[in-house]
Amino acid sequence: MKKSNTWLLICAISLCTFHVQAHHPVAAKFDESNPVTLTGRVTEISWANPHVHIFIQVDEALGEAGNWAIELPSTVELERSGWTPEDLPIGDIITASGPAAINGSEQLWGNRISHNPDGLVLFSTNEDALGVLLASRPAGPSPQWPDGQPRLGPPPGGNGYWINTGSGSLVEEGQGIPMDSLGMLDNINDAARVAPFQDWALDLYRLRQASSLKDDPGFIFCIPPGGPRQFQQAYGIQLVEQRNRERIFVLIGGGNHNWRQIFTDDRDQVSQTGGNDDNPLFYGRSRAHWDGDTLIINSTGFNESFWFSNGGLPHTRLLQLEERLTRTDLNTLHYAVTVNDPGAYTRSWTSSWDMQWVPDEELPQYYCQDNRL
Amino acid sequence: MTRNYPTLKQTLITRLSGMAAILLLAIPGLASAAQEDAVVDLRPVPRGEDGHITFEPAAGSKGIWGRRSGGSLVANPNSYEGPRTMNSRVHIDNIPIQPWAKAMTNYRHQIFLASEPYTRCKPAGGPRSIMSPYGLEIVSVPDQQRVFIFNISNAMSYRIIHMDGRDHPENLRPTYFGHSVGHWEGDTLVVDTIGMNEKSWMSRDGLPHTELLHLVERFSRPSYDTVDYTVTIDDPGAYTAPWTSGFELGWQEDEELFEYVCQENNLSPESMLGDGRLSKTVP
Repeated sequence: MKKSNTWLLICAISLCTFHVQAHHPVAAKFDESNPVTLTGRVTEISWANPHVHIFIQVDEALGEAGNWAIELPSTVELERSGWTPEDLPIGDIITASGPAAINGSEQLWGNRISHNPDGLVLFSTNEDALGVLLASRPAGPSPQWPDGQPRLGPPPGGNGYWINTGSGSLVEEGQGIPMDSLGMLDNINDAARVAPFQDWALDLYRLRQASSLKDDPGFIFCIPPGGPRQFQQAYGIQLVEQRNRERIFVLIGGGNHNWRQIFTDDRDQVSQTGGNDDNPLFYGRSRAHWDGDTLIINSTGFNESFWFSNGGLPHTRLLQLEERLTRTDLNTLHYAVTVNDPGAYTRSWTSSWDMQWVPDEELPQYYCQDNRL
Repeated sequence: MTRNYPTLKQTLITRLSGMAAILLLAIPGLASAAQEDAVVDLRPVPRGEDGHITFEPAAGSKGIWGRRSGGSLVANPNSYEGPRTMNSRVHIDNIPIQPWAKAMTNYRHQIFLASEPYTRCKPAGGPRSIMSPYGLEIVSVPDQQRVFIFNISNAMSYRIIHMDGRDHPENLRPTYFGHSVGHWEGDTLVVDTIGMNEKSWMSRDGLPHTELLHLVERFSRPSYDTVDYTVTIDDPGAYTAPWTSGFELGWQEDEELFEYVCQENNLSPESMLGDGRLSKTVP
């Protein structure tokens, strides 16, 4: 059994919180009004993304007989909190509690797992772990290239990546609407203020919110996070500037662990990276230029097969984005995006947030399609 | 996708030369004459600021690397692709494969490699990441002391090769690409990889591997338009001794990385996104 480590210690002395809302559309799958507690023998651990599963065999005498799947957060969150699958040997007995699946299948979301008979709590995620790490970062100015241009990636020889730790969805600048990290509104009546929606787009946004984002193709089918959504990913992005080739790669930690190319060579937005008007793309066609210390990225050529933001904001093929990246210091990347989509909104509008630098860590090797067949 | 597919003529030449290679294999000493590209690209191989060769285009030009000829590790008469594998550098009968692994390979070919995780949008590491279709780039980023391999297919993902002299970490949790460290031996990039999981296949040949897999891959660029890829496979879980094979990559002038999303038209939750039960019926 695992001994404590830094995160677990922090976990022990502060609060170990479990939020169904903090993860993928869990609320769409599990019924929080129907909590269950089960005790059984561990038959299998699937340490895979997007969600880890522990399977237990529950005996007749101990409750609901059957082979139950206990769903947990991703490997990234569990490993960041200090856990490995070796912490729970196959064959041991555990007690798990949490909301049961809405569809009546033998599944529950693992709010709490304890080991029998010693009662040790397992696989608790410490949502403060990242906050503690970020609080301990050294401060400093933005690193620069020899010509003085800000570097968007690590300092020379260094390591790290950007992560969005904020509430994380597109909201028109200045509106300040409360929502969770998935873009789920605290109050559905705020919907119309999120963006200048056209009527149909507002209806669709409300529908997606009302159904707890259960039809999100980014989760169900591992469809890529195009547009602002890649900057909302819990597992970060890395920016690789290849100045001699006049391009910048966005390496996406989560989603499908894709790359995206941004060209700085003044090319036309025609037929590049395989896209044209007949073949719109998930990541669009992006070209960029520097304006002082800000990289301005203009993108067009998006398809309609993905959600361009969490929270379920619609877009159409007419979508044009102007994204602005400004590294204000070593640890902060300001991301601002102007959305111009006359197919879904009544005017162009802007949203922005800060990305935080996670120093000295590798981008997680997360694949949405990991535990899919 | 809008891209430059090979012309019919190019395809015919490739196929004919492949057939010629099969005929020539029967005549010892003549196999080397079956080179597809009689004309060597005489442009100098570009060098980076660090003095090493690069795998990138010359300044002002474009290009990516693509599969040349079969791109198989082993010649395998039982391959469902049959003759297309026969110009490989080694024959499956001559590799130190364990009986279970040989049987597994044969079974996979019997079902036309239908059980390959790659077809369900999983990324794959090692040789499979080099032999995936459409093309790839090998990009050195000296100030990050890394080499990145960007794949078009293969989940449109990327491998990271650490060039800063670090060792493999202890207690590595297996991943699709594993953990790769590289160094230069002259103008050859030598990449050492461990920690690959068993969720994908290491090659298109259907050859199995285990988590014990240790790869040493050697990338060189003997001419502007050719990468020589040589890999030594050391996996005591599936083989009885290390063995070596490889293949060439060819330069695809003027082509660039393009967006390829495997999931785009892969919308069958039952087969691609199911609960994993189906996968247990086919290895």
